[in-house]
Amino acid sequence: MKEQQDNNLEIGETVGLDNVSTEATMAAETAEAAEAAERQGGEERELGVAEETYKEMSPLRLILRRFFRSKLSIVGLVMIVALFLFSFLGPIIYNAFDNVPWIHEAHEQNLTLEEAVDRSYHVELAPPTPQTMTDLDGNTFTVTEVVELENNTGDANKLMDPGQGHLLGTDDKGMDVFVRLMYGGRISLIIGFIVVILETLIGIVIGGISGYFGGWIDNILMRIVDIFNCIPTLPILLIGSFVIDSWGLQPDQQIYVLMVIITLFGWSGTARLVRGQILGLREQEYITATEVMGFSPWRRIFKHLIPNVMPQLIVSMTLGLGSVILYESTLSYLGLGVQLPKAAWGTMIALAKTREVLIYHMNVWLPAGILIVIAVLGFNFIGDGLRDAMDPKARK
Amino acid sequence: MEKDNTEGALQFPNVSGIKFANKDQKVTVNNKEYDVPQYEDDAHTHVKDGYNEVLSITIKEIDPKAIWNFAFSVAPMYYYSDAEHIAAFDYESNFGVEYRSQSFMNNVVNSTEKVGVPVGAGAYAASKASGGIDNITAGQFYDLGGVYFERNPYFNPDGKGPAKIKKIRFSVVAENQMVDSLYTGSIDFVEPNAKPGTITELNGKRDEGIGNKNVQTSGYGYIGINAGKVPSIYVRRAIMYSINTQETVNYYGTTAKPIYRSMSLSSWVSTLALQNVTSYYPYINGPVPSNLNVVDPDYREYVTRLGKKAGDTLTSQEQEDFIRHLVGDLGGYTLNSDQVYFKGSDTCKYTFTVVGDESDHPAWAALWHAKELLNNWGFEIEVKTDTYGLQKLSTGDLTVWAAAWGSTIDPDMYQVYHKESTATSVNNWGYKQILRDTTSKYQTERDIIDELSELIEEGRKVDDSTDNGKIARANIYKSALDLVMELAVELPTYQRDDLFAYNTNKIDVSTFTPDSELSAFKGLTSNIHLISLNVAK
Amino acid sequence: MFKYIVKRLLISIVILLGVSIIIYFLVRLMPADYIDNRFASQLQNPNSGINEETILEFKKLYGLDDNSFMGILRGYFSWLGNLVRGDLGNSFIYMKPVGQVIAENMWISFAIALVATVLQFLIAIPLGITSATHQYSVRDYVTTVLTMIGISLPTYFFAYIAIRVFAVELGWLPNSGLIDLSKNYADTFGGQMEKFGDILVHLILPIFVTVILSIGGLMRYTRTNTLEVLSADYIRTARAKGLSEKKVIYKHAFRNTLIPLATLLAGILPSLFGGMMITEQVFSIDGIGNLAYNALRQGDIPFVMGYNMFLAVLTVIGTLLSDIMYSIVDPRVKLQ
Repeated sequence: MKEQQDNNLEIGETVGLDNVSTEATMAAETAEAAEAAERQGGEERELGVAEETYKEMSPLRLILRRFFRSKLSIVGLVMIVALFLFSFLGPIIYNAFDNVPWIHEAHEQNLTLEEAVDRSYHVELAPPTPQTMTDLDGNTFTVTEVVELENNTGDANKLMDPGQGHLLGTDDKGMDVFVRLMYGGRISLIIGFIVVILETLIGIVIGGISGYFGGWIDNILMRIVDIFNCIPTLPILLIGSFVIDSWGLQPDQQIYVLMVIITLFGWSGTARLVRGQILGLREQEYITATEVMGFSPWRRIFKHLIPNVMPQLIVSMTLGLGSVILYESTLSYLGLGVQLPKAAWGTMIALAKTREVLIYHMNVWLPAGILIVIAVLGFNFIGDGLRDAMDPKARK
Repeated sequence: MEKDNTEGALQFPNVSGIKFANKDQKVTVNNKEYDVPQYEDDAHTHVKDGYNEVLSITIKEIDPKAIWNFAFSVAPMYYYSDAEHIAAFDYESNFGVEYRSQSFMNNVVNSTEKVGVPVGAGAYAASKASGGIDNITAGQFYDLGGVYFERNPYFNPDGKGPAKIKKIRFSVVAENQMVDSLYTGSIDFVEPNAKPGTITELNGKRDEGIGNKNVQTSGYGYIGINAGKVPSIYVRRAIMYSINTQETVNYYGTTAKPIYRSMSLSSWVSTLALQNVTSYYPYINGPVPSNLNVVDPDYREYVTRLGKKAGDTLTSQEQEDFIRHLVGDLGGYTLNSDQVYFKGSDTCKYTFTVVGDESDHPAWAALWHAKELLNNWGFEIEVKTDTYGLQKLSTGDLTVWAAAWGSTIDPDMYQVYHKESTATSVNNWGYKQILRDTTSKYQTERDIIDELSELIEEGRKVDDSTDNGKIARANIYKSALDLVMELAVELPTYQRDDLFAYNTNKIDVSTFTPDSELSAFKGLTSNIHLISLNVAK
Repeated sequence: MFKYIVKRLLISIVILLGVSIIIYFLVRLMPADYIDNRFASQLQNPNSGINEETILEFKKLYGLDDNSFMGILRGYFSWLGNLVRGDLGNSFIYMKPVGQVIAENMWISFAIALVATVLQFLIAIPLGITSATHQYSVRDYVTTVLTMIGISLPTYFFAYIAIRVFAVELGWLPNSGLIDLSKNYADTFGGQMEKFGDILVHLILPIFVTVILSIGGLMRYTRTNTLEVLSADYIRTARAKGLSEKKVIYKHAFRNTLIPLATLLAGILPSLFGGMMITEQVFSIDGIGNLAYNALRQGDIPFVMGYNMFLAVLTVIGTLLSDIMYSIVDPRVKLQ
């Protein structure tokens, strides 16, 4: 059952019509040449002597230059880099804070920080009492002892407010929210990347073959795509999660299987996109040229056609990243996503299902939602920026 | 009684001991006199001479719970049957139903109007959005997320007349919107989850016209261990020692109580016999209880040996040693290369399951904490939630799980613990494996179960109509419950309250069931026909 | 073209058959079937009179007892046989014909989806166009950021926030359900109109949430298309001819941006009728998405089959329309 928002994104990208064709490469080269000439002209004026050298700027650098010219793209890039640093470097830095009681406790028990339950409530410090002691030589010295009193019923400190070593408080199990955000980021971001890369690879191969060869191959492949589109995802996920459970996998490994399942439902969109593009492109003259030159079909598909579909693909990939993260969060809301004790942003938002958490402990679920928004926004800005950058007819 | 298995025939054509009574004269039961019933012959029923509708039932032996067995639902013939069968009704062999007939049953089950609209013989009858109770269809009864009821004018069982409130409607609301709907006024009476935060919030709204009350539920929560999957009684006990049942109570704060034996706190047995009983397997990481007479002998011996007094705690090392004593010395397990206990083919690698979708469950914290402790002491435990947990429970697939029992009025324990019980729930404990085993693997368990079954049978024969009889019966169950704890398949954890929240501006709160009558079996709205609304001012 | 359509339709039937087998097997293979789910807690209750024998009998009654490959296959063919006769079977949960349940509950989801889609188009397209014509301006940035935030939010996250703000804190709108149960609506025309109005008020928040969550995609798509159109040669020609910018945009660019959007419309078909599972759950609306989810969770096989086949048909038709539109719009594409 596809959520409306998912659908729109997919369809929007499936039938995209911006074409980057040879015109594009040619236009880019003309632009480069013009710029190079300008620069050279400037140099000439400086040096006074003319030596005709042409500096060529590769298309890649050109695109990068245009990319960085847009403020939104830079903002997007910054957001994503920040999220990555937060998720991957954060825990390493956090582990160093051994003086915080609950972190220390977790290290003692050999638990990772994300599954450490804080039971150190009521850690009071008794007033330091100086004591005078005598050593064997008869010298006296004073020792001041600081005693920690613990509450030893051992119940978890659930739903704590920020403070006492917890930057964002604890959730309903007593686990630190901030640390789980970091670990959750790892999982959410990795799932996003792996799924999108897998989807794109499969989509390129199938879409490429389908669009290029056409005929009955195209028909069969597209009908298979149709079948995949018609199969409802939810039963498969329910059965899948039950089967995964019965295999007795660790929560880590369960996530990877989850990713494979999500991929199975995403590749059809990319395939249609690629196929659509290729259908249009393969009638171009330069493709006919390659045919005349006798290149093998594979070379034609993967060396000539696909690179021209890349811009569209890259854009769709960056957008897809966002929607995979959202999809994972929906699955967690339904109870099918990442299992405890592993954290993922989706599971953390799902805690808002309980009214108490929803209203009184926004520190538990709101940050995860904000991070998801930042991630999806960031990827979308980058995607937008890339598309604008790669568009040969850009106005600037 | 002979069973007749031919198609279409009644399985038990006659049951001796049940006959029509009261044909000619009055009857006295419990010092109350009942007249000969009078009937009017109307178009619906045909009253044959000499027959009436009072049954006299004679039972052979003393059976304190017999009286609860003879409650049955009345299914009105004119509503569920069809013209052909109704016409054939006679008091002897045709009752308007075709027994053991799939087609008859299909007719009833698949008829939307029969199944989708209630009979309406109670205080309220099915209605529709525009009012009235005649000719309501299923689509009008449940319409746009609302269920419509209207007062039944013929309802007058106790002389207090038909219901006071004319229209009552039910609405479907998501659980986390319940209290909000009460505030916005779209709902007037709701039963949210009895969490302390909710109650504090509701208390704060008393001035705005929101009232609340909590009443103890009749059932209780427990953690079960399947002896089929955890064959050693000592391993099971070790697990129980690691579970802090107080953490399950803490989930509900002040609205739940800890429960120490497998008998609901609202049962009269608890009141009479279980007053001073505390935990049989005290939490190993907690303080030593003051009453050591009610605990497991192994624990008692251990703490006395260590010289611990009431209120002392055991150090980490002492706890680990105790577990090793239980599992290693008494159970015969040894540590393997992964530092996990094992014996033969059984390794101490188990899954604790919380039944349901979400980890927002009272037992989650306790099981999680137990996992942390046990994983340091030679176990390998994993805690999971399982959507299909309840279904797996019935097939005996879960090893350690947290669930809850409902509870009946009579304290009889036959169905749940007797060795000859055919109830499905017996599979949860692994009774199948225990009772079928012929080796010495389950000898201890079998001995306990034999003794337990004897006590249960004894308890079923006590005449508890007198106070002394009640006390005698309660004491039998006390011993039986201790045996259940010894068996180490069920660890009772908490008994919570039900919470009711309502709009005091609209509802006349004085017409609810009075506090003195409130119990686990009688809620605020049990006498719904007596509840009335405040007169609009 | 006609031959193409006929060919596709015939292939579609094969596809639908394939899809139906897959779905049927999937649902039959779910870990617990309808009877297991329905009676799980009663089975645990020793005093309920339900035991394993009764469960087996129930399963036989519902055709769920045989879970071997042949058994499932037989079940599939009996479903198919009934389908051919026009009978989708009775829903286990609702005990009414599946077709009736879908028909009765679809119109709410359809209404929300329709209004949301219309609003979406009305808002997103103009926004996309202005954004493109003023590329890199403040207007562009602000619109882009705001609408992108919209599509970055998880549904239930935003729905909860919306309910909190508009229904609970501000009290402007009802927080759940479809109707105010404390009112009586007479059977007269006036009464029914009042009821209708009440339903509309209850639908405002769900529609609002849905629209906000989907504007972003359409807006950016429009914006990209407009940008592309604006830099096309014929627009340059129009400008060179001296036409005012306004005329350039509304007379020439606008129409050409709309054409590719037409291909989108075809793809929206399934989503109009499929319902939105999570939105409906959060607002406790008995829409078809919510019903389908519950049916799946409880193993209501006839309903699941009926609903999913219905969606499959719409998807296939939608794809077909989309392909046809695509070929109309882009003459380079040849249909085979």
